[in-house]
Amino acid sequence: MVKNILLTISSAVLVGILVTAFPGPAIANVTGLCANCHTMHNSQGGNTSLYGPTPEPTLLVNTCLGCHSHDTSSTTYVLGGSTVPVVNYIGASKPTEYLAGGNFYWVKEGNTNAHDSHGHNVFLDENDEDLAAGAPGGLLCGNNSCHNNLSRPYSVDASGLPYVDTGDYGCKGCHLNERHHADDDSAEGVVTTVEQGYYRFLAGHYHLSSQKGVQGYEDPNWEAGQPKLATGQANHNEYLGSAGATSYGFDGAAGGNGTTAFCTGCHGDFHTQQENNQWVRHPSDAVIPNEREYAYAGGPGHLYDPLSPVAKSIIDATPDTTVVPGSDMVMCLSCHRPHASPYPDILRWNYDNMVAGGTASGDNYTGCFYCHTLKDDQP
Amino acid sequence: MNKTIVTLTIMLAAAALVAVFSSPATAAVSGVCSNCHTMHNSQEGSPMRWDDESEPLSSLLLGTCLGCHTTDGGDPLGDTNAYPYVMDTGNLFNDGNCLAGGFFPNTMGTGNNDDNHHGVSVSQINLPAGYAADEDMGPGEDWYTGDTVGNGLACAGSNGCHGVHDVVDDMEAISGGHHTPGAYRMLFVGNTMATDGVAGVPAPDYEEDLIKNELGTSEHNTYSAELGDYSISELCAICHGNFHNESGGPGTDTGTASPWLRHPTDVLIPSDWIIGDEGTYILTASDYKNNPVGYAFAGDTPGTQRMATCVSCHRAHGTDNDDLLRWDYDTQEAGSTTAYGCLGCHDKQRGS
Repeated sequence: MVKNILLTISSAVLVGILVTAFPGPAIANVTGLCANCHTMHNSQGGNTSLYGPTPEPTLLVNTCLGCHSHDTSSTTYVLGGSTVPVVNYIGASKPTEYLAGGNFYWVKEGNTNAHDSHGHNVFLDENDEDLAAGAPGGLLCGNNSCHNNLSRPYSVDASGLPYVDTGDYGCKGCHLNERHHADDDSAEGVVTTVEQGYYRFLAGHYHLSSQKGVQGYEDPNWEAGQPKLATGQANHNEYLGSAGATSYGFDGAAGGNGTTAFCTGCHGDFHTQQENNQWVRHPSDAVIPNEREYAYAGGPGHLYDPLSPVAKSIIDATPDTTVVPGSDMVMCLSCHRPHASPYPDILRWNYDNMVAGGTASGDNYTGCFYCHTLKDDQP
Repeated sequence: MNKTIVTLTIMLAAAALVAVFSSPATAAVSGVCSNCHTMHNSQEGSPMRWDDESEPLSSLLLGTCLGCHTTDGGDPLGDTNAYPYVMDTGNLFNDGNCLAGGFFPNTMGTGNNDDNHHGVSVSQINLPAGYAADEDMGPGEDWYTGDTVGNGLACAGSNGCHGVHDVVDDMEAISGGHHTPGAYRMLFVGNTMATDGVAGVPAPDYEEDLIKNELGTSEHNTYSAELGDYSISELCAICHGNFHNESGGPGTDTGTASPWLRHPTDVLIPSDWIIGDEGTYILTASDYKNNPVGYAFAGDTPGTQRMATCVSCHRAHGTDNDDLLRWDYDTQEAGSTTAYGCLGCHDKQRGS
């Protein structure tokens, strides 16, 4: 039984969240010289190749990964006064710190310990050998779309779908509503609207008239310092959950407005979790019961652990420092990092170290055992 | 024969220079013929040209374009407000003391597009930035149509900006322009004077007062825009074609909608953008100086039909700034309260 539960957890949803805002530490909208990021005509000194022969959309001087990669920092760097989150470390060795979404280092072909199963492969033409049948738990959308892979330009006729353009690929498969300049200062980190770009620019694309996206609280430092952040602190993202969700994706209102709704846009089958009132897949956006072993989630103090985040039913500008059984929810991101991690299935921790009943592994209240406390003989 | 008598006895066909030799209130040149012309470039055995060269100039002129339109007095419109100057021998022009087209330095560059001016010189033989051969002037046509690239960049004609583009000689290219103005600032997007003139409404004082004083009463140019019109940006695209979509073209140069590939021109600015200090779509003097927009019909009352043009950001002759910008690009900082330049239009990127 324990094995089955653990295996079920391992097959939960994998989805990408590219953290693509360029804000300073305290605000979400990009500030600084226009020239830091933009070129008006893709021409300098009569030479168009300075920024590449083909101009980038939005007059940018680089691609998503072009700006969000770095060779000395695996968390953030400063570009012309603006702090840029790093999602793709290109240094010589694997990073020891990263952001909430993880780091694409572990899925980039050629890197040490990199593997397709460690992340969402957003690198052009780096085919993912695990995606022959499309996104796990997902549906095929045409012959080539963001639902199938992220490493090849979409050739589907996406006319009428907001944000989806034939020829796009990679980061733009998830971050559909890019709004680096959205003025959401007054929201104090709480992002809920299309004008704000939604949470980390994650939006659905189903209908323009009912455009929806992820809502949540954006940590101004993107949780830099993962996976070593202290527990019981407020310096973390806060995710919205919808315990009453009866569908997946953003098609209609039944999927909710949280990250799980977004993830299940590609991995919808993983949101089909019960049959005959029995769990058949690990639940997501399900309330952590305030009973049995779950009543001890997070340990004696119920300390919120950024390594095992939970979803909240209400998001405000003050992230909680504790987890609340009976109210908070387990979600896709409780176990997975959306970009890439050092571990198979983009897990936040090494599944092989999740040993039930063990006391020597140091895994108390971590990973699976953050909620399944008694499986590790706690409390 | 007395030089004056000679001058007065011969009629001139046309004369034209970089801008109009007019009084502030009128675009047509008036005054004594000998102010500008010499019949034989000869007086008592000496040449009459202001530069003392013995070779006579076309249109019987006393000076070249820059010969006439250069001053040593530091006043861009001269003491009599009759001559628009685009160059000062003492380099006394600057972004706050020049005319709408800006100004040239005494030493012309050779076309590196970091330059802060168009290098009007035989030494300027580099391809223009964003040059798209054959795209904008028709098959077989180049920016130096009818001439050779070796003759560099001129004020007018096949190698220049003013006048029609299928003749080499500057004066022939703007023939009649000084005395019978037609096109805006003698600018043409094609080679037929009767039909191809750029539309626009010129400020009688070439915006001297606007640039110097930014008064509500200051006169301002009104620029034409919109794909398919004879817009000011269409003219620029003759040389800088990659920076501008052509009417009916594929739209691959700038893209056809957001997200744009290059900064668009001749397309509508969203009506909810607030340009500079404008109120109800009426631009202020500062806006006209720093962010002049174009309109589908240059004579229209400004309204919501505002469009970005090349000259919304650049001055045609030159400025104090890289890339001939109206302002220093390094002042454009998202999140600041700056309300001109990039942030003049992109109000959502301003701070509070």
